[in-house]
Amino acid sequence: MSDAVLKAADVSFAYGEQAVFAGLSLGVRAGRLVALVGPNGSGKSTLLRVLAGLARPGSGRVEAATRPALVVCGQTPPPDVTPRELAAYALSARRAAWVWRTQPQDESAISQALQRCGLAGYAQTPVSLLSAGEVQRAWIACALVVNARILLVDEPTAHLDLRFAVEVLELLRELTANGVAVVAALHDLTMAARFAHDVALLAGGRLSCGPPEEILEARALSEAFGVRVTTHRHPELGHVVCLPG
Amino acid sequence: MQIGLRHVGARHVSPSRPRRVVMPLLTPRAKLVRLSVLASALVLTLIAGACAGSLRLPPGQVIRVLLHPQAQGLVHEIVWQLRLPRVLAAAAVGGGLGVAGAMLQMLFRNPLVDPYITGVSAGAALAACFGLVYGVTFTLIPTLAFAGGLICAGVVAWIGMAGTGNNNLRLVLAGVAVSALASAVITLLLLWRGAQNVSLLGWLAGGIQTQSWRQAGLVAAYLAAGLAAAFLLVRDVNLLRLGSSAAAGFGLPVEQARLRVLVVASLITAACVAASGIVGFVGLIVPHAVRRVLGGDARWLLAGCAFAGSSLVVTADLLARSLVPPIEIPLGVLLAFVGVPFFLAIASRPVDV
Repeated sequence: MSDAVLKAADVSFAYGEQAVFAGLSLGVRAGRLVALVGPNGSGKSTLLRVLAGLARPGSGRVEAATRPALVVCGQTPPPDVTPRELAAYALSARRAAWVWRTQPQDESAISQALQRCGLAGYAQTPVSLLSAGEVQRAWIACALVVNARILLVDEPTAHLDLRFAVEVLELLRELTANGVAVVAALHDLTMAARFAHDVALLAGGRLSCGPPEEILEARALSEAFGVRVTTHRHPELGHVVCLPG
Repeated sequence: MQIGLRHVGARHVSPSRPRRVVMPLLTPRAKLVRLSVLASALVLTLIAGACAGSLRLPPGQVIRVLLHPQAQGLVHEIVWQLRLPRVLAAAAVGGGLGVAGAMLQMLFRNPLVDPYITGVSAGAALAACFGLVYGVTFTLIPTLAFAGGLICAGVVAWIGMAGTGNNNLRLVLAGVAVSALASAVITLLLLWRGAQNVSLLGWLAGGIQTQSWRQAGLVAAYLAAGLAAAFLLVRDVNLLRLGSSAAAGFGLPVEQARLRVLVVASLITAACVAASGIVGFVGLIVPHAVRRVLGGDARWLLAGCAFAGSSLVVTADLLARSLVPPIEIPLGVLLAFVGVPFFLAIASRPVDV
């Protein structure tokens, strides 16, 4: 925990009287992909907002080495916006309001970010003509362009078919190779086991965090999700595979 | 939005699926050309506005008079003392409503929003009614309207921004509710005291009343300040257009930004209402039309709306006073006749914000 770039200590959050979680602690080190899993309504998105500094926790502390970027996927940008414009907007949020022009050094940052997200060929294509996976990657490019070292992604695979989901998760995994710390809220437990270094299971207001094979354990999952879950081993890759029933 | 795009054929084909590579038709240069066309159209309508009236003046003469402000004579008097202040006031009102409408549509991400959704018009009308009913002199009415508009917008913003959840929806609902209440009070006032008050009805119908330089100058100065503030908010508006969670993720303090946009748009609208009464449709149709010409980026859209809104209201005012002279058709009525068919035509196509 000591070398964590993003630390939450004893954090609690409530919407009015309704407590979402309490006493959560989490540490994310640079170069790690943490999959945040848990049932609907368990507070995954809220926890990401708290970690990003966008929601103030009721108690406890969040410390980040650098300003985290929060990417909420699954949103549709206005249809005429291009990935390049989207990335430029992300940069503009960190500039003075009266500077309208994208600076030359920003141009190269945008090109690089789009390149890394595999969008170089579609930089000038309106998002209405992009696939869901490409739009998702365009959102992630926005986090890259501001050179975020801590990246929080809410449901990066929402609405994506298997191929695009794999593409996006591979991209996130690649980013960690460059020292970025990533926390991604995911629904697919097997995908989490396949791609994440660590898994954080948020259920019933409590968070348990550790390697996938420790956290993704049949009894804990069955309890968390309220259905019977069995876990297996992938015959070739060896990671955990979670199945209902 | 597929309009304005041109398929240029696949340049890059991935092995597994066919790809469409589409280039946006609008390069910055193309946008600049279009914006210049809108600006030129405004200049032309301003000159046309100065030419038209009960005494028709040839454009050449008007331009000569405009180029020599120190000259003397009847034509000079007409152009400089009667026509120009009125035309400039019309331009200011149109530009202001266009910009405020575009800002609010982007803030709420709702194409049906117009500048009056903030409750400004209802508050202004209510204050003006009270003033007229209680015998306040007509020259003070715009000031009263301005104050009333701001108070109502403040109430709407306060209700809309309080609490958590869907603030956009709450703001719109608050605007509708406050406007409905104000309208009810106006109706009561009209029934009780105002039936004989023709100036009040005229004001409510909207129109650029004969403007003196002092009035026109005041409105213009006020709107210049509002527009300058609007252009400082271009970045915020562009980010809010992506949705509040995306904007927040990018590091924009969303609630503050929303309040800033709402306040500036309300100020601009209040100034417009004070100058011209309730001029409908401009703030609704101008942003839609300009979006089709220049795209949705606020950097271009707001400038385009300023030019197009000005041109529209100057033209409408020109028609309002020259269609059936010497009667002046209320501007709001005329704009409804032009605006409704236009709006229906737009509504029949896909609409984006």
